[in-house]
Amino acid sequence: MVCEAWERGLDRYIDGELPESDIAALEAHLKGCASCATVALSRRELQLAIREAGATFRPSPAFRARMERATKRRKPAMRSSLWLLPLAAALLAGVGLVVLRGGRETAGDFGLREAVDLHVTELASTVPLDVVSSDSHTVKPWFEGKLPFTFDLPELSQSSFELLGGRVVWIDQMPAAHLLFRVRRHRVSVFLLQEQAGVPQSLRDLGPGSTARSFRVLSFTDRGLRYVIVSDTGPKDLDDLALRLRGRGAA
Amino acid sequence: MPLLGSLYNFAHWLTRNRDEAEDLVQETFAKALRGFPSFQPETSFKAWIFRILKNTFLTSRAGLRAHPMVPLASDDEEDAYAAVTETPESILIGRASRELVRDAMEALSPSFREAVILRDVEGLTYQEIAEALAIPIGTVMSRLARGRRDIRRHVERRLGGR
Repeated sequence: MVCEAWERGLDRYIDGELPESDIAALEAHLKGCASCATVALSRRELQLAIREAGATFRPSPAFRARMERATKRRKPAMRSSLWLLPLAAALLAGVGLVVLRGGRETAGDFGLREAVDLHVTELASTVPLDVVSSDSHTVKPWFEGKLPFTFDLPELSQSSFELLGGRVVWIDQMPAAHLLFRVRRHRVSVFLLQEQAGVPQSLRDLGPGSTARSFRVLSFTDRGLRYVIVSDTGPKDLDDLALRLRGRGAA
Repeated sequence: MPLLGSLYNFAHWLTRNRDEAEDLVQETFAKALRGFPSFQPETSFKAWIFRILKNTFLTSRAGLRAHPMVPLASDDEEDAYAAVTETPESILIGRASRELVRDAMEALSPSFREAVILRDVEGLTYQEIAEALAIPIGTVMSRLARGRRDIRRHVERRLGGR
């Protein structure tokens, strides 16, 4: 059971709707209340499962092509209202959303939001990873046959990083490897996706120093794979891990 | 056309039919283009276009066939939170198979399902869902709470029956 005072606040928190002023109080409560922490994790897990199961239906390539053709046909007919064209283009591209809604999360943030959600879930989770090992020669083979790509892991014995394990996750309906590392007392998530499968734009547009919900996020491609690193550790750690991972990808 | 996928997914959940979903999306885009001057820039574009889609669905053959009805009591926010219980074991519910969770979503009342899909799948805010479905924010929250609870119960029953 969840404490009565936080019943509705918990859902708002999970939905990213809790006022900023209440977040610190709820997070402090969660640290001391195992019951509420369990409920929060349970609801978060369910939300992720719904997200994955609900994104079920995709337009067929034929329908997509038909829509694009129809859009192109429509534009010349609107010459008398030329001022509308940029707006119509924005409408169809969904670009207006970003401009009009200020800093809020949008459809374009979807992949990034999922990656951060997965990292947060992992931080809160008491459930072991699907493969728990610090041995890269155990973790890497575990993914074989579970993902449509393979990858190599760096040698970390001389570094401050420790591999904790991994699991298969889905980001924007694409299978991805979720690797968890530890550096000192921080945990670091690394997501690997196949670049050619159509990685969400939000995971490709991450410039240096990017953050999402206070987590540092770093993204790069290497040999056909997209790497996305999420953590609350310092930027030097992220750069260091990225350097070690580069050159290890294999499409 | 990034929104095409989101609109199509929602349309398919509403109509439960590929052809009708395609017709619905096509008509939604046509209406959105025609009606763009009525869009108010300070409001959410996504809420606006999802509202067009929902309204178009309600007047379509599929929408009239579906007759989505929810008893008024179901929107009672107090009641929505009354019987929600989670245990450490229920964390695993969320990790149930994709098919099981999808079955549970199929079994949901249409009005709960709409709210859950717009929030958990399409990422709309409470305010945007309220605008898209033309309902108060309190109702959005109660439908979300009830919808998620029903999904959890459905999955629990199925897992318990194994």
